[in-house]
Amino acid sequence: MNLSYRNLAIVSIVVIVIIGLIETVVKIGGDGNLLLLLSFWSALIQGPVAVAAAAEVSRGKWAQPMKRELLAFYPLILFVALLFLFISFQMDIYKWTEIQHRWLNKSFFISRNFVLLLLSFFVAHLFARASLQQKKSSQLVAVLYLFVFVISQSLIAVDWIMSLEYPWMSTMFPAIYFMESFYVGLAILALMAVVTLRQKLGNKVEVKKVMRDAALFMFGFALAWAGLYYGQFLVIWYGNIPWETSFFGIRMEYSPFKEMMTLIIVILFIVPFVGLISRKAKESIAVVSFVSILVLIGLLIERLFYILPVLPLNAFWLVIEFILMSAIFWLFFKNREQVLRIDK
Amino acid sequence: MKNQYRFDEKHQFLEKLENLIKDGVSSKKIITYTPYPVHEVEHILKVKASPLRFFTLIGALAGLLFGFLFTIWASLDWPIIRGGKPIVALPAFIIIAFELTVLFGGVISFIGYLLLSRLPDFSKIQNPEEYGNQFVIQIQDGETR
Repeated sequence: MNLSYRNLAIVSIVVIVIIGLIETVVKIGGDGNLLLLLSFWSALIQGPVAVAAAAEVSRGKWAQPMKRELLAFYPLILFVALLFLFISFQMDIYKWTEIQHRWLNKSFFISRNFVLLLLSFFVAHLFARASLQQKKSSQLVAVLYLFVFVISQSLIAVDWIMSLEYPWMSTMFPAIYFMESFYVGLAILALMAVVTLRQKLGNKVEVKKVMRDAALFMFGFALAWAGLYYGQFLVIWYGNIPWETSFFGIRMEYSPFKEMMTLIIVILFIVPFVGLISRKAKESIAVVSFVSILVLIGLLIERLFYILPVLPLNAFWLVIEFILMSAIFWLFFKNREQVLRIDK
Repeated sequence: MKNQYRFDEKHQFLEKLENLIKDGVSSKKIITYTPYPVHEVEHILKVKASPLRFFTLIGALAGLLFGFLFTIWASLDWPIIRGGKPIVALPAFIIIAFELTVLFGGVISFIGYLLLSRLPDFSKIQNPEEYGNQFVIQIQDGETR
């Protein structure tokens, strides 16, 4: 489906309005729907742009053939920012709203997160333009984007998710969050390379190299993810402080959370590690597609794992919202040449 | 007698290598020297994967197993409750098991490398000629077909 830039913007606004109506008027129950939707898709949208920025900073040629595809998602950061505003109608999902503090108070919560998402969009726009026009400043703007990306994803972790279980806190939680966003950014890069290969677009040899390199990075990030996750668990386990252990206590003792935890470790660590260990596997379209899709599913389960013990979800409307988000995501990828007119 | 081709550019070197293989030169008779690892050479010459990886795998698995068995045995042999944790506290043992996985994997890989390279016979790996930044193709026995 080919759309002009204007039509893409109109479709995006329509989708925002539909999700907004679902969240504010139509939906019954399912307080955690919007939070799950935003925390999952914000990682998927900011991650690929961060991968492009990291390649720009390190002058990595490996992502060059797929740079346009990676940058195609940057306008969706604005989409997430606008959707986030609907959270202001659901602030009662946070228990801290009963006794508000300097940091945790409704108006500051909404304003700082909204401003940071807007800033993230603005810097991503500058980076996309500088990178596509091959300006000298592209590296500097890439560093700036990575900086904003890390703060934005960290704030998503601390404000949106961690404060759900206030006063539980973990200093490693934000690091895991932005690292996961980068991890799924690589999975999306690998999937986009596979789609490009299937559609017989671009230079086959170059795109295949991108797929192999993305798979190699995913293999490394699987290890890094496991290290961080285990690091967080070990510190809490060893410290054994009741208000810290309650987070894992609930999730390791009761079904379906304990099964979900096992599944997350299997999907985000064991499968990518074992599956992508050989060189042949990294060059196999089937293996890389399978692992990449699994990593995306793993991230969704992980976000569920954080939200589900605290907030109920409405499965029907959640599926509708995810279909809408997937459609928008696909439309931006499909119409990337329209999206990236900024380089002309 | 040896035939030698020297190139300053990587793409010229790879092009020549591909042409030599297409012309029917046996990959077994080709030796290449590059200033840095060029993975395309392995694809063009269809080099078989080195058995070194099995040394690494066996070493890593041995390290992992030893790491867990040793810590469990040591804890059971001298049972002291620390921080209210069980005697056999697996989360804490993972670090030692991981470190030993890396250590054993590394050391046994190095031993495997020495064995497979028939070292310390340095004459086998030392080339008296120095090529600097050049990419070099050497064909043994002067075969140019």
